[in-house]
Order: sequence, then structure tokens, then C-alpha cells
Amino acid sequence: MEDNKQTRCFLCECYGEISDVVDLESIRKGLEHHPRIVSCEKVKSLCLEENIDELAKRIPLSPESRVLLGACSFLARGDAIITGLQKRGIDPKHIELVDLREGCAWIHRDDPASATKKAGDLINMGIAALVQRNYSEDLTIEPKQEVLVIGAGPAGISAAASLVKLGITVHLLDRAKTPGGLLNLIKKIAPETDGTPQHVEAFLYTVGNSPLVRYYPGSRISAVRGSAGDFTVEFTSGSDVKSINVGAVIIATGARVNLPGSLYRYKELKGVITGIELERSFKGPGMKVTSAVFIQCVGVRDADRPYCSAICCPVSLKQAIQLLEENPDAEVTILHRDIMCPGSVLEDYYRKAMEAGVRFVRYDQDTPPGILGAEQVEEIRVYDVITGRERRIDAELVVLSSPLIPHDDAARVAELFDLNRDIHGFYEVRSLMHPLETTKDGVLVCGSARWPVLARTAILQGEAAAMKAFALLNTDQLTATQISQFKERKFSLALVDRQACTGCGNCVAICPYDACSLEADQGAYKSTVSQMRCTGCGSCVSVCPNGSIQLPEQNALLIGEMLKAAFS
Amino acid sequence: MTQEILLSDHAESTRHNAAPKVVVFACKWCALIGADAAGKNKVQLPVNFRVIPVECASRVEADAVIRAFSSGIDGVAVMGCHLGGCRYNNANHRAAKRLELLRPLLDTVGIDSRRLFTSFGTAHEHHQFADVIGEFYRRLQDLPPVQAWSRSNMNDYRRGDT
Repeated sequence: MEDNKQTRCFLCECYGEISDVVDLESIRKGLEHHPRIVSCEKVKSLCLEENIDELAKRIPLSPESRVLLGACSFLARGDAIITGLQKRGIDPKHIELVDLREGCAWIHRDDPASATKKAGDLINMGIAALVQRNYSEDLTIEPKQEVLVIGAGPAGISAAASLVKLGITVHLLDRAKTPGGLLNLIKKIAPETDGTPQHVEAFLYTVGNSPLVRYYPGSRISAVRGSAGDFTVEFTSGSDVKSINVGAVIIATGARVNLPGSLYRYKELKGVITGIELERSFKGPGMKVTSAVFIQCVGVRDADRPYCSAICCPVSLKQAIQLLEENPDAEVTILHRDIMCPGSVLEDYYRKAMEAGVRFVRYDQDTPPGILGAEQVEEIRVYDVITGRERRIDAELVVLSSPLIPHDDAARVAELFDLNRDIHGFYEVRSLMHPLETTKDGVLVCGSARWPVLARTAILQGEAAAMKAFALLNTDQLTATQISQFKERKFSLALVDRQACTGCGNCVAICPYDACSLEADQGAYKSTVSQMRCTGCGSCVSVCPNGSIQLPEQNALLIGEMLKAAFS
Repeated sequence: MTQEILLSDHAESTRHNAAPKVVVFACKWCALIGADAAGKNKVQLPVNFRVIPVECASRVEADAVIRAFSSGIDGVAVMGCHLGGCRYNNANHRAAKRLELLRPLLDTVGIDSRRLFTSFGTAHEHHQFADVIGEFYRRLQDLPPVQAWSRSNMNDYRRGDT
């Protein structure tokens, strides 16, 4: 294979850190006659600014020019060297960094002869990589400076309010006629004992009085097209059909309360109600009872729904305290499997409930409490795990603490936006470092749509999602590299050889980001890769039966040549 | 991968059993950081391994592993993030499954599948990387030399299968 690539090699001595172990002079001599290498020289230290200056002068700015640096690792000073050269006009794609310090000299100080051989091999691998490397093209778009927020609950409203402050136009959609979401149904917010839903009004005021907010109550999304930076969303608002163009989407659709069905004789006996019904009476005339029993974990933490909804314990504590406030002589008991109140605020709240006189009885999943009574609740029988005895508790009111579950149309929204959902039906987010990003770039999820949370956390997540959306859009030019969260110099996008592709669809099945798809091309199916979605992981490469899909920066030929050079 | 390549190159590699040649495909989010940290901490490691950085362990296809063995390498290690901690939406989980599927194939062609080492999330720290490399080295040193592929291997495999 003939090409006119000119590789210049620079070996860093690192003031002896490398050259004391690795015999750089013999490597340099060996490379002088290498057919690929134009020049090779040793430098005392590559990473000093003046040396980078000197280095940049010796590298011609031609597209054929390649640079091989034998220095420390990318994570040590290598990154700084490449960035320095990039500032001086040298394309970082044409630089190959060979790690001779962390990867060789420092770990093989006992055996200089072998370390020198290894360094030679590593440099040969670097040359092979430079020769075989191809480059992905990057796609550039102009992001729309508008954001769609779906859901006007605490998460959605706080996201909208934060974006408005940053000067971003927000389209706020809600399925209901009034904003507020689940907050409309409750009197006080747990665990803020003095907090009321009116606290959200500060946000509502910002949202309601800003010219940058377009609020569409009673709407339903019908179609979504496009990708991060440029989504087109069609929806119906009332009887109107509208279409908007946004750069990012924040999903804050929340969750709904699961009704207990026929569990614990709900709907059959008078006095058996759910927590949300109790809230309704708190908002209305109030609720004055002499004895009440809360049952936790109704229809949750079992085989069908094996998660903890996380909000029901604080909510029941709040309601129990409230019942005691209305009638201090009332007997209030919480039957629980475990009280889930982590953190200092919630733990304080639990202690406050105990001090207020709420009694706690622990029951077992296998022996759920029984409800006695003919028409009205009279008594609860429960096997107390701690004492090992059955207890009888008089009760006028039984409150079933039900979990939050995904909304019924969560599946529809997931399908419209192409999102993954977890086994419980909540939207799946990316790993540890990307806690609000869904599996589609440019679509963020916050609040209870992501996972059941208390209002305080929902507001926090809404603000975080707003910042993430702002960070994505706050630019005139958006490249595919910026959109995916991996802003890396060596970023690559999978590339399909359409002549060789047989259209088997393996890549479509394996792609973790749904970037691959099949499209009809002259009577056959051919794979195609969405540049906006591809993150360059290379999953498709390893399942392609004939190697027709490749990462240009790390193609099969390159790996093969590197392997050959590894022990040359 | 053709039979000829496997036959010709392995004869040579079997002689250096005391210092087996190892190629490490290191995920740049995990094992590469571990390898780098090992360097920073100046942990002394056996010399005969070469690290090839990859975006994700899922980039390492069966072909690359077989190609490595056929170019005379005694052991191939694939190191990625811990399962569930992949940067690429659990791509490493699928890679782990794929590499397990490769093992019987390697055994069939006469390459002990223990020569393929996989580590997911166990090489992120410098001492972990050193431990993992050391473990793989000891394993390779104990293994009998690579047998060139032959028809009889294939027959053994078939008999064992039925």
C-alpha cells in the first residue's frame, strides 16, 4: 500500500524518567530507516510550553503530515501536549500518542532491556495505527433555542422557570387543565411540615408572567421527529393541532397513584380509603377521627411490583401527624414492613411522628393485616413480627398507602420519543454520570417520571434537567460529538460500507442507542447509522458478519496491524 | 481466519511459555485508567503485555481475538467496566456474553479457552490491574503450549459433543 503520509516521530525523555529505563537512542536509530518515518528525534521534555512551540514549528501543516509522540499517557500530560499542538494548528486526529512512561518505563524499571523492546513495539503499534486510521466526519447543526417541557408538575414547572431565567423559550405542555400536577391533590408537602403547595407558586408566577413561556393545557403529543438540537413535535391542545420546533425535550410527566383494587377490602368496606382520598378530605372540611390505621406497602414490594416507591412512608408520616393535630386524642397506628426514611430530614420526620404519638407495628409480607367489620371498619388484626403475637387494633379509618406507578401513557410517550423503560415502566436513564439523560440524546427526564420522588427532589431534578438542556443548546453550532456526552478527541462514528452490507440487521439488534436502522436501497435492505445518535462504542462492529460496518478510527485492519506489530 | 495462519504462527509462540505474550484490550473508561494508575504508582508488572485501548469492550469482536491468537499471541485479555456500569448503555454486558460464546470455538480449534481472559470492572484500580495481569500470567504459564489446529482436535470435539 503506497501513500504519501509523512510521519514525524518525537520521543520524550521526560528528564530521564523514560530515558533512564528505555534506551531511546537505540529506538531512534532503529526508526531512522523505517520506511514510514521521515524524521525522529529525542526531546528533553515534550510537555513544556516552549517545547510544544518548538515542536509545532517543525511539523508542516499539510494534510499528509502525521505526528507520533512517544511520551507519557493521555491521562498524564499527553492530553496537554495534544491540546497544545491543536492550539498551534495541528489536527489532533493526525497525532498518535504512544504511552512510554506509565505504560512502559515506570512499570518495567527492573528490566530495561525488555522495556526497550516493548517501547519499540509500542511505537510500531502507533505507526500501524497512524497508517491505518481513517476519520469520521462530524455533523454540524444549528440547535433550536427552545425547549419542550412535558408536564407542569413541580419538576416541569421548576425546569421551565429555570430555563426562562436563562432566556430560553419554553413550551410547557400538560395533560391537565391546571398546572401543578399531583400537588393539586394535596394540602401539605412532605416532609416540610409547614410547607404547602403554595410554595410552588413562586415558580408558577415566573412561568405565568414570562413572555418566554408558551403554556398549553389539556394537550396530547401525537408525533415526534428529528434528533437532539432539532426536534419537531406535533400535539393537540384542546381542539387545536400545533407543531413546534425545539432543541431539547424535558419529560416531567410524573407518575400516578396506584389504586389498591380489592386489596384490604378497599371499596367494599366503609372507612377503607387511600392516602390520596385522605388528602382530599384534608383539603376540604378536615378529618377528625378517634382511631386510624395506616397500612404501608399496599400492592408494592411484592413479586409483581418488587420496588419501593420511596414516597409512601414520608407521606403516611405526614398524614398521621396531621390526624393527630386535628384530634390529639386519636390513636394513630402505622402498620409497616420497614419504614423507609433515609437522610437527616426524613429521619427527623420519623422521630417527630414518634414523639407526636404515632404507634408503629411491623407486619410480615406473608401475614398481611386482616380487616374486620360488616359494613364499616371496626378492627384490624395483625401479626406483630417484633412481639410474635397477634394484635387487635380498633380502627375507624384504614388508610392504604399505595405506591406511585408510571402513567398509563408512559408507554406511548416512550414509543414516540424512542426511549427505553425499566422493568417497572419508568423511563430508563443512562449510567451513573448521566442521571437525567434518557437513552435518546437531547431528551431528559426528571421528577417522578424517572422514579418516584418527593416534591423537593422533583424540583431539584427539574432545575438540573433545565441546566442540562441549557448546556446542550447554549451554542450556535452543535456537532454530533457534542451531543453525545463523550466529548473526546478520538471520538468516532460507525460507518457502513453500503456495497458490502447484506442487510442482516445484527447491528440494529445490538446497538445500545438505536442508532442503526435498515433502509430500503435498490430492492435490498442496507444498514444506516444516525450520526446524531451513534456514540462510537463499536458494538455493531463486533456483530457484523462481514465487517461492512466499521469505526473509522479503530477499524479491523488497524487492530490487525497493531496486533502484528505488538510483538514484532 | 484460515487454517494455514493458525498452523504456521503457533509453532513459534509455544516456545516462550515462561514469558507468555499477552495483548490487553482495555476499555478506556475503566481498565485503561487502571493501567495508567499502575504506571503512576510504579507497580512493577511482567513485561510481555501490550495494551490496545478501545472505546468499549464491546468493540472487541471475535475476529480480533482470533486474529491475535493467529499472530502468535499466547493470551488475550479483554477488560471492560463492571457489568451495569457501562458508559454505553450496557454494551459491555452483551460483549461479555459474546466472548463467552467464543470460548467453545477457541477450544475447537485447539486454543485453550482459558487463554482468553475477560475482566469486567475488576481492573479499575492500579493494584487491581496488577492483580489481574498477574493472575492471567500465572494461568498462562501453567497452561500447556498451544496445540496447532488439527483434524484430530476437531474429532475429539465432535466426540465429546455427541
